[in-house]
Amino acid sequence: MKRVHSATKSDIEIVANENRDRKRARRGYFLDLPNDLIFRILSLLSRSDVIKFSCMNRHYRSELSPIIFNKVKTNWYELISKKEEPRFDLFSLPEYIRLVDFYSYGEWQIDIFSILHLRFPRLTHLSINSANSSNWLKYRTSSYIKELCLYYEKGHNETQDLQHEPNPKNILKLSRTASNSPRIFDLAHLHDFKLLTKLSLDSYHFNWSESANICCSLLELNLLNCTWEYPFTLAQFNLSRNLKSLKLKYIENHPFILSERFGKFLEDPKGNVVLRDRESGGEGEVAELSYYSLDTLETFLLSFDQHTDSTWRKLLSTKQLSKFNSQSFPKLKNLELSGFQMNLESYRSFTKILEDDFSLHRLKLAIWDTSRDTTNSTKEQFVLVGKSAIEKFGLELLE
Amino acid sequence: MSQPKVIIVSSDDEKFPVELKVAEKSILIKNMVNDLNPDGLEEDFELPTPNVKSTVLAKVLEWCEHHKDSIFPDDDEEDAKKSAPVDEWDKNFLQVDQEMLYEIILAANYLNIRPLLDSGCKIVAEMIRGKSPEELRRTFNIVNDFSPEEEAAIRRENEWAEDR
Repeated sequence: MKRVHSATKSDIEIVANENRDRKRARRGYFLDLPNDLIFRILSLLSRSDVIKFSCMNRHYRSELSPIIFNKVKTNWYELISKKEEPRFDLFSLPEYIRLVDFYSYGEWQIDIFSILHLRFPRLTHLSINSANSSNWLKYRTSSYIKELCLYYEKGHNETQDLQHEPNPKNILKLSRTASNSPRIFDLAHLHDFKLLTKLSLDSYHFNWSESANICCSLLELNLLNCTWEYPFTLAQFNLSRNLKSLKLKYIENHPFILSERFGKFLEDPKGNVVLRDRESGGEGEVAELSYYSLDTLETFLLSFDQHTDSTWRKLLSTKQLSKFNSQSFPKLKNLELSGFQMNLESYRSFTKILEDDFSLHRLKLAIWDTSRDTTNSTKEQFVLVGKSAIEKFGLELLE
Repeated sequence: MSQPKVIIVSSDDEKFPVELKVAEKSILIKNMVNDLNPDGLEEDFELPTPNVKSTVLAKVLEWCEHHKDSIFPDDDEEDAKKSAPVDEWDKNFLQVDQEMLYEIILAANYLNIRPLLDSGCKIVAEMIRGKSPEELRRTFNIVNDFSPEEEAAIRRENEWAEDR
């Protein structure tokens, strides 16, 4: 109670009573919690739960609006039509926008990044539903996007439906059914995205050559169900040598994990790229060589969904695991491999090598144990505290 | 001679003598005891907690007593901790009215008792999860003060809010 020191006893009692009365009036009121605790609680919930929570009354709505409108979703039509701006601009300017529908015409013909920047000056994170290869992005430029996510979700044609109806012959409907050809991504297409540091790609195919322009300096790369072909290697994402985190995920029983390409990747996850300096490498001259790999990684996550059919599971040998040693990945602190099949007996015998060769802070293996009868296997959590640099092994057996 | 105790004094001057082990569940108290007794605790040590009243302090210390031998995982697995279910005993222990629940959360935050804070926050999150606005109003005793027009406007606005 910040009253003057000379306050009399009755003064203090009055203030105390006032405080008590105010408290009683707001007994057990959630929004009276300090902001950090409110955030802490809401961070345990899904966004849709928080949105519903904000609809209880005016006070909740005004307090929680900055949280729920920090991230907004919209479609191409809303952005390119001259409609009245929505009210969420009053509360907060979103830093994240997701374009929910795909619109090929817009990708090629509309400079969406300029429009977005004008309307949302605080925007740094954009997520786009795109059915196409990334080629259109090479004609786009952005000096404010730090995080870009390209994903593909069928069935979102809102803008095409609005822009191109009536359509009696159904021509566009035919043309926009997604083809089966792979969506190609090339990092060089993002050469005018100077601030980009975090990239997430969903279901793209990589085949670009090693001479790709070094453009953005990626720190984080998240790949979901992505594939590639010879001679591409994932190290080509790290030509700027800044990549700290790589997360590679395959879901829906993706067949790529059984391919030769993926097997090669596991044999040499670091993946050296030799980059020839084209300009000095003329006829008769010895080209200058530079080597690039994934050796800058601090976090490496590789996960598959857990296929119940054991013939589809990918085996991880101790030899493959040993490729993540501290010589290849000197900065690696956090390694997570999940969905593999592994012989746990050999894992146990391998812990010593792990302790000697790895400098990890955290190793998480969520694996199927082949050394035991899987029908009897129960979920177990091993925490081993090593005497060396490995502080903790987390080992989780999949049921 | 019995072990010296930590005597925690609530905001309303009630004294709670507890074992050092119990008191140390609070990192704040642990650090204070260590800082002020660099040679270890030799005699009973009194500590005021001006932010916590006796009813709440009693509850918090009951939790500390129950968990005095529990080992809690470190802080580094933030995601795993978020998804871990609330300990059954904690769940029953935190079956209190909302005012008390918030008081416990505030006290756990102030006294720096992470596992109790986590459990408390998860219980509140459980009260919110998966409910419609109408159900939430009943749970949190909130009167709907929106006009029908405002409700319609809110529904339109919500279409813009990212929900994944």
